[in-house]
Amino acid sequence: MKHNRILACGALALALLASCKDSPDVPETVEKISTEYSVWVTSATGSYLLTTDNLMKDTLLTPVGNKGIDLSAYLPAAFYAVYAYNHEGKFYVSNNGTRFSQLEIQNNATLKETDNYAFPSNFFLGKVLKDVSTKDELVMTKTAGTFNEAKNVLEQPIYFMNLKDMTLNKTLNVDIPFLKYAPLKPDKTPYTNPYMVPTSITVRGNKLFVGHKYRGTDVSGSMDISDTTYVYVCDYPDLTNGKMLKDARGGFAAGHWEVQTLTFMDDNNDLYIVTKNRIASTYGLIRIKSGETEIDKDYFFDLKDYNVFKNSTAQVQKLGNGKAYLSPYVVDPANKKVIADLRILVGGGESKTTMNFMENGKLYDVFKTDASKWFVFEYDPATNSVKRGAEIDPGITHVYHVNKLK
Amino acid sequence: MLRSTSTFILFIIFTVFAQGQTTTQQSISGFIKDNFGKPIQGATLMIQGQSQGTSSDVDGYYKLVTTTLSGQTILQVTALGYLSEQRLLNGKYIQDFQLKEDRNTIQEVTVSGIAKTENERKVAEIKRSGFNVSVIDMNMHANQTANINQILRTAPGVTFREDGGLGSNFVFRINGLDAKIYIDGVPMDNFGSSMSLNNIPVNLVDRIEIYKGVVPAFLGSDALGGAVNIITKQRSRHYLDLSYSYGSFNTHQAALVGMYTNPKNKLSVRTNAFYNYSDNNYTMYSEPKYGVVYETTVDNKFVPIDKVKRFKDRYYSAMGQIEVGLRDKSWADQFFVGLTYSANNKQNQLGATISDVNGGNWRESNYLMPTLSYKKQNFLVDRLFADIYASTSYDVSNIRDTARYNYNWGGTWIANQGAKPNLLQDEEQKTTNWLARTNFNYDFDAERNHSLNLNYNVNANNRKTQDRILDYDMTGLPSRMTRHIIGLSWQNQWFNKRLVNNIAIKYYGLDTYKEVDERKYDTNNQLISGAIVSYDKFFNYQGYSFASRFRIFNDGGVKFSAERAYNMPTMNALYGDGQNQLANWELKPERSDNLNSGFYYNTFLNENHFLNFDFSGFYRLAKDYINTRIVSVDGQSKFQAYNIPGVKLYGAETEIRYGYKDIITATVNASYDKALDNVKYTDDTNQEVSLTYGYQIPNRPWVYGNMDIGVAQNDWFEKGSRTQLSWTTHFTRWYYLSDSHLGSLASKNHIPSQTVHSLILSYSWSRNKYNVSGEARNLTNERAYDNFRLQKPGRAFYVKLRVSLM
Repeated sequence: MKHNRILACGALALALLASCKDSPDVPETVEKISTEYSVWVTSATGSYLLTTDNLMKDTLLTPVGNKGIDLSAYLPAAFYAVYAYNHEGKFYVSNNGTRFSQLEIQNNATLKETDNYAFPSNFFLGKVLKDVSTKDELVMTKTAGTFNEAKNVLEQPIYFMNLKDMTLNKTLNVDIPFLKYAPLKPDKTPYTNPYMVPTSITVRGNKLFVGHKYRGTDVSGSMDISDTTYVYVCDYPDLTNGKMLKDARGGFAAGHWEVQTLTFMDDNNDLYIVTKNRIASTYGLIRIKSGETEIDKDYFFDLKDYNVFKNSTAQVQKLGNGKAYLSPYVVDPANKKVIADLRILVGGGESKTTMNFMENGKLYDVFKTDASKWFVFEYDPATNSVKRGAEIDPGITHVYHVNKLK
Repeated sequence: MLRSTSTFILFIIFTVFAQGQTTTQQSISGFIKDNFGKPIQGATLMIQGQSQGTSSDVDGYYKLVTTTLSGQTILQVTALGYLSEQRLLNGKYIQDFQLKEDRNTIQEVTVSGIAKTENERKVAEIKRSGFNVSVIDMNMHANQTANINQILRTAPGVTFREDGGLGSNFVFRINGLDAKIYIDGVPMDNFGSSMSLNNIPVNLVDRIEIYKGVVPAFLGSDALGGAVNIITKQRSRHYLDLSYSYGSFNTHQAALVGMYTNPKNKLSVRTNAFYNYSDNNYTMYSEPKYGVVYETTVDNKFVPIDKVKRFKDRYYSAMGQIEVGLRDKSWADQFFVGLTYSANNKQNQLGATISDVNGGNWRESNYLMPTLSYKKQNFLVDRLFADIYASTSYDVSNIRDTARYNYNWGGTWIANQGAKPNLLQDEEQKTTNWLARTNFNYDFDAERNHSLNLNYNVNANNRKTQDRILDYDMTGLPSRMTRHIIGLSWQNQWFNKRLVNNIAIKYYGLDTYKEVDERKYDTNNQLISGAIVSYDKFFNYQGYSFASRFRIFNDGGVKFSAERAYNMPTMNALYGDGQNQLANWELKPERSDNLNSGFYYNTFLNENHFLNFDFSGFYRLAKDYINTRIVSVDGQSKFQAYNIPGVKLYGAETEIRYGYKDIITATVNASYDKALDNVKYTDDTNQEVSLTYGYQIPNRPWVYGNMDIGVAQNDWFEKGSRTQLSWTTHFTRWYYLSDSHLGSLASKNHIPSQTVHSLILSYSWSRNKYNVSGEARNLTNERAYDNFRLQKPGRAFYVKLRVSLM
């Protein structure tokens, strides 16, 4: 009898437990979200995509109150925003070293993987060659190629990804000569495992330009070890007739593994490459004039007196009319002039985004004002003026991307 | 090593059997238990009309050797708090007794009155004190194929989060705070990686004390909000316990506990040993509704598959410990020198997530620790008790990744097409550690109404790391950490021990040191800046605590405690472990102001039924709360400890236990454990309000409970046998992986609710000398996760054989 009572109690308790739901309730009908524009933000603990139909309207973009899209499932760390790229409204993310995902924002406030490509070996999205990419084909590189010891070259692949079915249309391999460049440690031994990182890659006409830098390792970790701008130039798409360009005036070809590009071509088709002084961490511009395959020895725009990329390196934009955006400055590179400081134009603030974008000749970027509020700003190069748009929740710790989705 | 261990085991077996052969004819032995089958420690067995007698030990076991036995000998058993019993020997030299509780005595007086050993005294004091402590009798679980963690996680307020099977990484907390673990009062950190909650077999342990809230000063170190003290089996008589189990996933577990004391010269030898092995090759299933989808690659596409089997996740560990010493000497109650050797080898298939499938990543460790312990009552002066312990240890760990290629879930390696093979890892960590612990307790009077306890614990770690592949040597860059903890407490009792208080102050000192090469050179090899820089930090804090208990009725009362306590970072948290744990030099000690209160009531419905009820609540304000996050380094997911500036924790737990004789036991408990982000601003100027202020810290269980029902039948098939069926259920309510209020619910991931049932059937005969048990764990093959997507083992079966010779 006692046994039976106890067992009955146990069975009752089990029945109660079994009646508990194993998952939280999710409303069956959810409020449809806008899918026109998005900002990629992070809090101290998570990453979110916040959407709006108009970046310039007076609204607050916030994940609070279960708004926006939680990206935690796709991204183990906020850092991965720098490996994400938005192309034709879809996000392309390399989030685990081999998986390359095509993701689309759904209007039920979720992010859906619409397709993927499994790279057989380590792959993190490097640079996108936007000048040769099309609506249906993304031309891109990986963060670092493979050192071929026999040939003493870095084999840097360029992938042509068919975005309709996420298959590779073709792959080209640029063989960048690996220079016998090995600064020594104090004990007269070379740095361990010196390696090369392509920092910019640009196609101009029938020429390919790959800016790159050297890194090495000592007991304190990996570090940049060269202070020379190296640009490998060759024919495109044949990848023949390659030669190495060197310039020691501005430091190395700026950038690292992040997806944003630090090169641009002006209205004259002159190619500008951002350089960085390794020790002083100041920036400059070198130029390869249109039709040339040598660095312009008469041109160097030293930006050492300006806080370029103070908070993070950001996408360099060609604004037109001879202007370019090197966050937070609008510059006239041909005349080596700084035209505007957007920090001043927005009334005091800093930009921390890595990806800004252009629409209808206007630049859209996000600044954190001196009053610790985030706002989207629209910069019109024609009038050299800004307009303030949507506010982003001040509790957000970082805004990485501002993107156009449609 | 194996050969010497085997020789020693044979020696112990021979000794115990030989002892049995030579003394059986002249001795009476047996067990003295209460009406509910619980051993009565300190019960006295006398031969009526003679002065000869003996008392029972912690197992309730007694043995009386005499030459004056006859068939008419009358045995008399008495125990304070129980009705005494007389019995005619009648030629039976093995006699078990079951005493009934005497409801006219106060249980607490009983407990303290029978306390004969230092250990018993300590337990009695703890139970009587204001500390919120629960004790798990591990002998009740001796027939399970379980490690300590599986028992411990059934206690209220305890969470234990694992990322896999046997030997996996885990995070252990009590009431939401990082609890310290001790083995016989010595911090477990000092025992090397082979001694861990998830690989110590239950058979090595007598009991586990779980302290919630304020921790007694005699447990040194920097316990905050709770502690677990694992008390290993220690007997002053001959004792041997051998067990072996085999089960699913090719899991083998063996344990040995042996003790021998020469009755003449009191020379005592005791040994513990265990061996664990598991392939951990259990199946994990895709569950899209939980966001869990395992995939394989087909034609360069990730495609979902229903299930995958873990591989390259094998684990083994072994430990052997021997202590030799003297007991009951004029200059020492106990003096032992010991040597512990342990080794383990752990493959590391997954890091912190399921994303990275390793094929050749493993860690092995060899560990050696000489120890010295000394205990003496009436040390130098009357009523001064001294407990001194010292150890030094050497640990050599190798962390290796020998796989040149990545693996897929099918268990096959994938060629790095067009790319170089992966870099190999071969790192050697040499860690030396020494620990000194002294504890003095002075009782001002025989009734122990006022006692002072002084405890000093100093622990130093020094690690040197060498990369055995790269052409440089990091051994010149040491990492060190030294902890000093001093505690002074005053225990006082009032109103005939109705009110018991404990007031303590504590000093915490943490000294950390590391060297980093920060030299930078230009292309001409000229030093531009930097040097080999040494970093050191020194933290020192003062903490205090107050614990009080007031007995309202004989078997019921209230408890209250408050403290300010600190939790110092561990070596691995500060410097990393070279494998899954990433260093965080910026990690700060955690401080917490804690309030705890509780009510307890024990009653007997009649002499055959007991009912225990415990309820307690807690409130904590933690500063620099130490939490764990997943970070990514070079595409690899790692764990890293970090500080959350402020967290408010509160909760409650309750447990009800019922028993009917020694036939039925039932326990149900439930815990509610909430942690809220308690720092409003994220900047120094108080302009930026945190998005998570006032909201629950995500990715942690906060509602959970357990149920345990056991039924037993004595004397089936033969006299002295016992058949027992136990059914346990563990429940955890779902919780969100990320902040519950940020982002749409449709886009959020969660760890689902899970109810895990286990069934254990055991049969013992010859009065618990031989045992066989079968266990079905996770009977319904529930998808169980402690961490997102990291499924734990499903249904598993084990069989265990055990021999216990006394």
